[in-house]
Amino acid sequence: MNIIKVNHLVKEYKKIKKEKGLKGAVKNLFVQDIEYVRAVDDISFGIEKGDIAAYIGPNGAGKSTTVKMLSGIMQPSSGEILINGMSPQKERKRVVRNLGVVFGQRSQLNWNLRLGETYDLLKRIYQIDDALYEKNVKMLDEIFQISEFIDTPVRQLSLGQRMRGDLAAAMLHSPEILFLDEPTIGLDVEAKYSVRKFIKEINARNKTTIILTTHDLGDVQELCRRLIIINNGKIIEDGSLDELADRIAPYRRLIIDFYHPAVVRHPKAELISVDEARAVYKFRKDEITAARLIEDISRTAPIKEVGLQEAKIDDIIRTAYHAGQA
Amino acid sequence: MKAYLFVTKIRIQSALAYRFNVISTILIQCLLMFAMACFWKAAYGGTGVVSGTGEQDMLTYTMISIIMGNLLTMGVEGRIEGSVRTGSVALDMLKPVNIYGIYLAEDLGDMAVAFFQIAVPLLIIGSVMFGFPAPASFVCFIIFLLSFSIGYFINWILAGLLGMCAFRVISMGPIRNVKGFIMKLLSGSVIPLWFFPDGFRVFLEFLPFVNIYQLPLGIYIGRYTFEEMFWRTALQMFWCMVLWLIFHAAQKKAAAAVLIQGG
Amino acid sequence: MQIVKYHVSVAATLIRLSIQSRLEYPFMLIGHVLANCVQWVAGFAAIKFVVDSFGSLGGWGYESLAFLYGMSVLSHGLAVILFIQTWYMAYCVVEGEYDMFLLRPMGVLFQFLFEDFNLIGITDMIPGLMVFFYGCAKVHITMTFANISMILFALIGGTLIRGAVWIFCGSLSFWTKSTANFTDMVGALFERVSMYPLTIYPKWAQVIFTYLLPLAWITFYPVKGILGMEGSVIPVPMAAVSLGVGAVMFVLSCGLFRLGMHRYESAGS
Repeated sequence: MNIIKVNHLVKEYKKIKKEKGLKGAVKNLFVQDIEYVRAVDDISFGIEKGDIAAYIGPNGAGKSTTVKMLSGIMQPSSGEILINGMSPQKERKRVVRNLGVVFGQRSQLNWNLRLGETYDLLKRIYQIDDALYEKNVKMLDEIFQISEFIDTPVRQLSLGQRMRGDLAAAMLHSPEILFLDEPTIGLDVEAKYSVRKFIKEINARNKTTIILTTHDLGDVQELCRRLIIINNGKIIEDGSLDELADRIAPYRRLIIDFYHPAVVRHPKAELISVDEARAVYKFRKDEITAARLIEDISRTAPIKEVGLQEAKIDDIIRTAYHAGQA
Repeated sequence: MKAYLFVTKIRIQSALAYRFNVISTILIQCLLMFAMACFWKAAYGGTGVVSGTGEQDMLTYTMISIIMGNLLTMGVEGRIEGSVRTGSVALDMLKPVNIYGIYLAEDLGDMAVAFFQIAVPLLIIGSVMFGFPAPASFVCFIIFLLSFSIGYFINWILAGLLGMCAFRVISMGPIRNVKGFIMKLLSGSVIPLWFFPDGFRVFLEFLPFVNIYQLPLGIYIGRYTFEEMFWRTALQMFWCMVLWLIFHAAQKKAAAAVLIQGG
Repeated sequence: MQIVKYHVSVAATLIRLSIQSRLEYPFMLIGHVLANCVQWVAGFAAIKFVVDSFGSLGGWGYESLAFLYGMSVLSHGLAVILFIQTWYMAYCVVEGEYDMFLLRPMGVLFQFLFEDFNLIGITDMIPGLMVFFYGCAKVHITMTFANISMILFALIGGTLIRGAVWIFCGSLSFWTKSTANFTDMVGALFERVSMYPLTIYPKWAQVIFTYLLPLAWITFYPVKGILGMEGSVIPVPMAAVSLGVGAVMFVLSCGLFRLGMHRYESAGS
């Protein structure tokens, strides 16, 4: 049963073409040249309860636009969104009660006051009873060590702390669904680790469904079983990372260090480079296994050391983006 | 010089982009003009000349005053405050042109836009509603232009000085309100000072504010004799120079402060 | 009842938070108090001077003008306390500042208005009250129960009318997408219509301000009623009508806001 269902979602914008120079500006007062741009172009997908899905794409692909429509901030031009069977456009308050949203570049924390004040406000707005509030604060403290900076004014927090504060704020009311828009942007290694840990734990403990938009492929690798790639407003891939890798970039590399320089060829592998005693082979996972390749090659020349490289995730994704452009 | 002209041109361009702003501004200003005219008409209620000015003259005064109000909008104080707050003031000091010159060029650009977008339509509409606000004589008009220009600079410098307070105070909200309010009242833009009791009036007429609105407007409606005009304009120029010197000194101090604190 | 309690509790928290925020900058508070004192007292002095020169204004003598001015200042102060956030509505639409409110399970307008409660507005009330009591003294008004209720109705109605017009203007930016903020120009219009008697305007303008854009109900009609001046339009206390007009306008403007929210596009990527 899909907890989130998106059907033929479209978001169209009017763009007014502006001409340059003084003459153009005056002309614009009277006549306007309008073109329609689709930020989101007929996308459909479903997410099951407890899933963690990554929603990735190049800048301007339509990721944030989609999340905004899912959270009810923006009205779609056409199409349907159902969250727990309700439309965020038609029943905003009810949907939002069960939703936690964090936008990486904006904060909902009160800038001037200590972090705790915002939580107090949220407690009242979401009508969280004392017991649940205590429980959640404790849980968030375990994951994030919130108590360390809950008394600091938000304007004095570091970016990592502020992001943690925002994530905690989004979870205070125990929502079933979380939308995280670029939560690790600009964070240092430690902070990123913390955020990823949070996501994994929340998902494990509470079965929270999470949609994560990100540019950080480390996030994708660490967290996401499901990957949706969007480009130019259209979904170009939807599946698990492994499936994707198998389909788009099913190559692996084998690096062999021989005892003596040797040039060994193999029908099922491409010899990419030879440098003294080191040879690099490229081969397809589905055509031959690494073990078999090593075995075959070793019959021709004795092997000293072996190294195996999986396809780099960056390359996989970039290939996917380009495929989408075509 | 070219750089400043270019800045003015860019301002005009971006301002032209906001047509909705323009129409709504004109509408509201017309309403204000109408309201003030009604106020004076009701006040005069047919009586002839009060405190030396007749009803028709006051209507002219009001109309031109509102038009002037639109031409005298000063962005400079906001810009100085903004640059202090965001810290860009340090960067500005590095540019090869005088940043205040740039601000002035921007404000002049704004004024040029305001003239065509707002002043002219207001003049036309006002004329239709209340009769064309003719100056007392051609000579008066010329002197009015001179007086207006000097008044513009006085206003600009005052706004700039206020903006400079941002170097010390950082947050400007209430001060700006007081200033706006003081300007309205003391400059005679809404109610000319000659309606005020003598004691107040004499005191206030020595302050620079009068010279921004009341003096040019008074000249326009022919309230002053030539001799009076001469002395008053001289006072106006005097204030302009004094303020300019203060501004110059403040500039230097501000630059020094920035260089020490590093922006 | 539960809903009211809920909203009150959230409002109270928001107010508390914004007061705390403001107290971080005490200097601003002092500055504002001073600025407002200067403003109201001097504005009043200006009227005095004019009346001294002209005798009367629109058929109203000095005392009634003083009272009228006082009432106007008070409803202005109240409107500024409650509705000053509306001055930022255009900015919020363009910059996408409403996102945060949309993500919470409460009405957007409600959250927005209380978001930054204007403590400073209270300082506006101090000189406002001074002028008001001065005006009361001048017209020798007796503080009977009836009069006090009329005054309260008039104030509430006047405040609601002001708020409604501001919300209306702010909501326009949902359609124009421009940061053109004419709430202060509209504010100036309020002043002209509520500080001076309506009679200074020609008949057609009076009709507009009575029936079409009911600004005359902010102070003029209720004050006429309170001061017992003849010329009542309907056989109901004017102040009560003000309250009614204010309530209706307010509800309508909230409706417009909600309509506008549907068009809201948020900002950025």
